[in-house]
Amino acid sequence: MFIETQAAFAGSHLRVALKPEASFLASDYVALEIGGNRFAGTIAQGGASAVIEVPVDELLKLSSLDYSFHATRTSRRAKKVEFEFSPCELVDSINIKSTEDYMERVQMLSRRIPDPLAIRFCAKHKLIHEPTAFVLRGVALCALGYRIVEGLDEQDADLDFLWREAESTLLLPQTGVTEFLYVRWTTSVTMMLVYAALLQKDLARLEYYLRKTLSYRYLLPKASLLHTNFSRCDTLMGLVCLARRDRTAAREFFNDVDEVFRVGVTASDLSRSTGGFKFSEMNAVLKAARASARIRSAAEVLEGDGLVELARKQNLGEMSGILGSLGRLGCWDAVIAEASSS
Amino acid sequence: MSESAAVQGVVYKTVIASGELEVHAWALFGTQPAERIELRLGDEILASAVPSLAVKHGRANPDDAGELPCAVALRLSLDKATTADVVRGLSVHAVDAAGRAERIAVALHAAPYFAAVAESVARQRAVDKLRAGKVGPRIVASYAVARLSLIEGQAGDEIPETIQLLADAQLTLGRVNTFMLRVMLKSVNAWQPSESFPAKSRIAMTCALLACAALNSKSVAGETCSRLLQQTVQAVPASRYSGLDWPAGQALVMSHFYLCLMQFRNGEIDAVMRTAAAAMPIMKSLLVSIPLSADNDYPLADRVIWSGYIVYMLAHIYAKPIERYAGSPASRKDFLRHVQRLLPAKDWLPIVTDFLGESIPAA
Repeated sequence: MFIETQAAFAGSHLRVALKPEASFLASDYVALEIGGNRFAGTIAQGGASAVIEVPVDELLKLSSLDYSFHATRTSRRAKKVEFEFSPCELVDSINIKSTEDYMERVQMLSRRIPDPLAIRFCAKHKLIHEPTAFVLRGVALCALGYRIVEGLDEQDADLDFLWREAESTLLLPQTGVTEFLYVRWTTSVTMMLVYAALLQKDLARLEYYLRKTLSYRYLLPKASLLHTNFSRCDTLMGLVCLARRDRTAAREFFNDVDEVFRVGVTASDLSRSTGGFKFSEMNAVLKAARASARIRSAAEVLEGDGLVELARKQNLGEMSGILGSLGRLGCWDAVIAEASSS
Repeated sequence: MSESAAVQGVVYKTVIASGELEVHAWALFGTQPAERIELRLGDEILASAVPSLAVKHGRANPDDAGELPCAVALRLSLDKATTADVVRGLSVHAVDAAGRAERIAVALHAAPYFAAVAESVARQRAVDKLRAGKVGPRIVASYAVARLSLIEGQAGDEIPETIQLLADAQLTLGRVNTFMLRVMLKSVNAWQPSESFPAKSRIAMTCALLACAALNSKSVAGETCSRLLQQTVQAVPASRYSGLDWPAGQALVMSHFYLCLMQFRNGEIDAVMRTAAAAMPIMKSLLVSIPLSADNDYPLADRVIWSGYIVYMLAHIYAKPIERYAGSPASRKDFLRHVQRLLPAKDWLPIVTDFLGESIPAA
């Protein structure tokens, strides 16, 4: 007997559908044993399929996600029949055993798990079970945070968890991590939090994390990887300053983008065979530089509420897709309105 | 002398300078100076003036000054000339007091200038019409080849412009004539940068030539193009990159791109690696050196980045394990998808698709 398995995250459960070659019997038994816990399934009326539902909260508590399926069938002659199961790709993918697998399945753009809910699960699992591993937590926070932001739901149930875990991670000491890795993941997390704050239309947090990201700007020639983040933070901070009618402060942020572009390009290593993404980074910074130059120029002939309107009407999608989506959601209008009245 | 018995006159001097055509002519109706002298292009009066210069009538020599103010110097902006509908039949007419107009002849020594003006007008019209899609690329290409033969070795920017014109026409056609390529190559080689027309003209020419050579790499050996590119790169030392503008910077990187593609198609993997190794620091240096001062600069800088990326990809992803390219149609399609994504401009696609002998897959 052979059972086909298909799994998916659905709401608060991991749902595994089982489909046997022949119908189940009412007396049959199916279960998923994972991390030493057994979750029994329900056989559908008629026996064509069965479903095992595992609460995600329960799964998250399990340190090991090793799993096995169990199904028994009693024949007319009272003999137990063994079932063979097809591999369950999703459960296999979240059962990560090494750091290399974790980075590949959760972080790497080209190889990560295609299901965003599965990535969320892996990230949350890591955050729960690795309270002090700074880099692994940074990876997890970015994976989780960007999936939340891409979902464009400001009431996302994971937002509180994200903020809590992120704030505690940023307080971890720099022990056992090089300065480069520490700054690299700190700024990646703070940049992600900028987007999360924008999703929640939270100006105070937005500005705090913009400034925190830019506090590492001095490392740019060494850490060229970060120039995309710095250029976007500069541009967004410049716009917040414009919303406050402070053109002088805004100008400084906008002027810095051109410098970030040039320093970043100079420091980008294109000699390695893995350096292809550097071109995407350069392109991203160039977009921010163009936006900044245009806004700076437009701001020079405006005063007062004209500056506010200039900041408000910017199409943030010119800089990045995620900013464009947040802009269309009205998040940018909201923070600019708050900044202009503060 | 005049073409009519009633009028005597001659166009005794023409000069083309600073974007202006200057036509000197005198005319007499009997013993009376013409009321005015007109420069016409077909039926259109392009310039008109009352004679005020004295020349000895009956003489074509302008230095042989006389007492009678019967001559004029008509000036015509060549820009204005290019807007005329009729390009042939540039002529000078004398008009008497009764309003009668008589055509006057052009002195033999002045005639070539008229021809040059007509050529100039035709050239500009060809460029405009090509850009507007109103003149077939074959006609433009034929004209450009003829023109390059005529102006060979001249200074100024007409050679780079004409080469660009010829390249555009051939790229529009999607194929390259071997003879035309040789004409281009000869002109590029013969042209020397000067103070007024600096190296960036050579960059543009090289880029145009390589684009065409890339389209038909059997016609011009990769080695020849490589030498030419070296010459181009050496013409602009890195210390002078900040003096380039973005079109020139873009052309410099695109020159590497075209050369790299050509070498790639020819299977010259070592050459691809060398070209890419040379292109990367140039690309970075240009991005850092050329000021981004106008909004229009950014799309050009963007193309510098993506042209560089294609070169990088050719060297690192496809060229290194040659069998990956040679043995896998999937890799070629993958590459084309990248090209399509990165360089969507339609004038680039025929070049690339022609290379790999494959159509662009649906996005």
